[in-house]
Amino acid sequence: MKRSIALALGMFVAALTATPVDASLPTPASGGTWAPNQRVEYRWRDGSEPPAWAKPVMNAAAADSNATRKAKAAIFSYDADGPARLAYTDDMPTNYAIGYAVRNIPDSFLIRIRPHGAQLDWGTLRWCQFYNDPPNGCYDLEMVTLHEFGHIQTLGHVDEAAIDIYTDSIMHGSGVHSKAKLGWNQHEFGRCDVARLQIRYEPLTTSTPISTCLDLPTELSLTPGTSSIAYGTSVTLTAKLKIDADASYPNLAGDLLSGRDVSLQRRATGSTAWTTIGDMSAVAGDPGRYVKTMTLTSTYDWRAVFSAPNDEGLRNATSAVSRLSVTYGCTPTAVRRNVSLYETC
Amino acid sequence: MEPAWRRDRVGLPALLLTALMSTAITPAALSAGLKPGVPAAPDCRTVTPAIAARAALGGPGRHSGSARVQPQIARRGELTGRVLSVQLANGAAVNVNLPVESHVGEATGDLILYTRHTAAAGSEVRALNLANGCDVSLATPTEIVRSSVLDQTANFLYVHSVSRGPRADAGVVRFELATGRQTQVVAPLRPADDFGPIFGTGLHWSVDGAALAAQSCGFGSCLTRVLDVATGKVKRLDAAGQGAFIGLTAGHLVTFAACAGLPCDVLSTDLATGAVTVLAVDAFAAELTPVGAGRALVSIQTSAGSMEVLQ
Repeated sequence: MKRSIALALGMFVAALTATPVDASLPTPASGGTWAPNQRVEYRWRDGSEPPAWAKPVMNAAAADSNATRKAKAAIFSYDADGPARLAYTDDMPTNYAIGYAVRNIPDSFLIRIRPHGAQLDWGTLRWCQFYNDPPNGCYDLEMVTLHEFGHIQTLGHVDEAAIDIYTDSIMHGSGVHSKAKLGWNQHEFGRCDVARLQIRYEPLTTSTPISTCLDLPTELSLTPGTSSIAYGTSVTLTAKLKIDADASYPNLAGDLLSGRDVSLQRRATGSTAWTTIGDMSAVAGDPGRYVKTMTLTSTYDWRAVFSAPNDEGLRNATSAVSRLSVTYGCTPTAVRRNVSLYETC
Repeated sequence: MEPAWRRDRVGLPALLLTALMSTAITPAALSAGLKPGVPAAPDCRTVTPAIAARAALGGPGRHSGSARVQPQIARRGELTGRVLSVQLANGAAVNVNLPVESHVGEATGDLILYTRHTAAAGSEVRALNLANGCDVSLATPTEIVRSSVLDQTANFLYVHSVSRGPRADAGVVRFELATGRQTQVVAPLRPADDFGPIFGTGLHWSVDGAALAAQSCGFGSCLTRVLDVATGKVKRLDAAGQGAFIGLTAGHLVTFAACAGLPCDVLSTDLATGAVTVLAVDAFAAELTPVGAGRALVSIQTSAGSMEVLQ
């Protein structure tokens, strides 16, 4: 027991030390995960079918989860024969929950939503979608149902002290906001929810933006293919961009990164100043690979550079330097001082 | 399916008589506004609260009849109330209509405690006897009653309420059933701002009945105040991450973590030190079995199997 607490404490400290102090932390999660992109169909629970106004709202929450997971997390959809169930019911396991989620991975789940009009200690539960003109203090059923779908995706409640702004997560343990507080009708996972989904399930594709709630080192390699080349010959330089293999999260470490901006730089031999030659092109069907073809007439040092965009939780990376020496078919007859070699024969 | 010959011979009048005999002939039915019928019922008017409460002395799970609560949800999806449906020991059925602001406890012995509040009628705690159908008022709290429990002797009723108007926690009041004397035993709760509004409060006895836990929960997390019945002292346990109540022993409060769903970790909070220990990770169910001396065996089900921990 003490060992598990010590382990948890150690992981917490490690998370703190591995992350800038002013950054939000990924939403906590636990338990086994769904298979990558597993489809899980749900139906309305017999005897607890939501009213007509609530059904499309709850379906919209499932669609919100699908559209904003940005990871290979589970995909939810309605099917009259689905194994999972959504219930609109006063029969809740606790007297305080307005939504309650039970996941039975890998087979099914059950989400219960407390009905409109139920009395809680603080007052009457009101769902905003019940009204044509929702009053302040009502709860957005789509947001709360999405919160429950977050639990089904294995997300837990966020530590309020560990996030910068409220909308970084919809998994608030101290209470989702009612109308019209910040985030009361947020219909997408917050960036720190997405971060945890990406940690647990991997990003949806290699070009899916990495959540800014993460701060992952990247690794960039440059492969000239040869170290020397004949004057005037065309050569293709190839870069490979991926999340650093030593990144903290095993599911993300070494993941290839496509669709990013990778540029090619060179410097003359003996110089320290780098010049950007241009962007390298992403290669379709070859994730993480970027190329640029050049015709070389002189020897240069080359490197690839990845400048991480502000809307991703990635760090910059620069490849190792590769020198491509240009060789000549004959010995130049004249070499002018301060001018690169050129072929004159 | 009934044979055709019997339907023909018995006919509609007999069917109506059968239906009449099977419903609403008890004092409970009377109190619920249902029409009287046969057979004769005991004179519940002579039953005092103290006498009525003694029906609980049989203990949990040893009751004569059966009961269930059916929420009433209108076509538009609005909760409009509840119906407490009881099958009495004599087979008669009783339905008690309750307002939305109501709570029905689990049957203890032959007794079911329920609370109800409306703006017009105020608050009331009632006790329905599953054996004889007597439905007796035990207390009429001045605040908005939320739930109640009897102690093991059935001499005292503990009632949790919220205040009228702001619906702030009003604490727990103990009613002495023999005299009607009221004592505030747990003060109104004033949680920290970051706890948020209180969504629900539950009253739960320790396995030996020596302490009463009043657990109040916000949207996702809870705090518990433990009343030592003998001394009247209240200990507050509010470490972060506390979830739904599972059980209380002489030494430990056992809860889920603040999950609002399952699976969920099971936590044990040491009553003396407040230290929290994780008993199990990702549990689907947990329950306590008393083993004497205020201790209990905590049985926990996880996806990996089951385990038992002595607390």
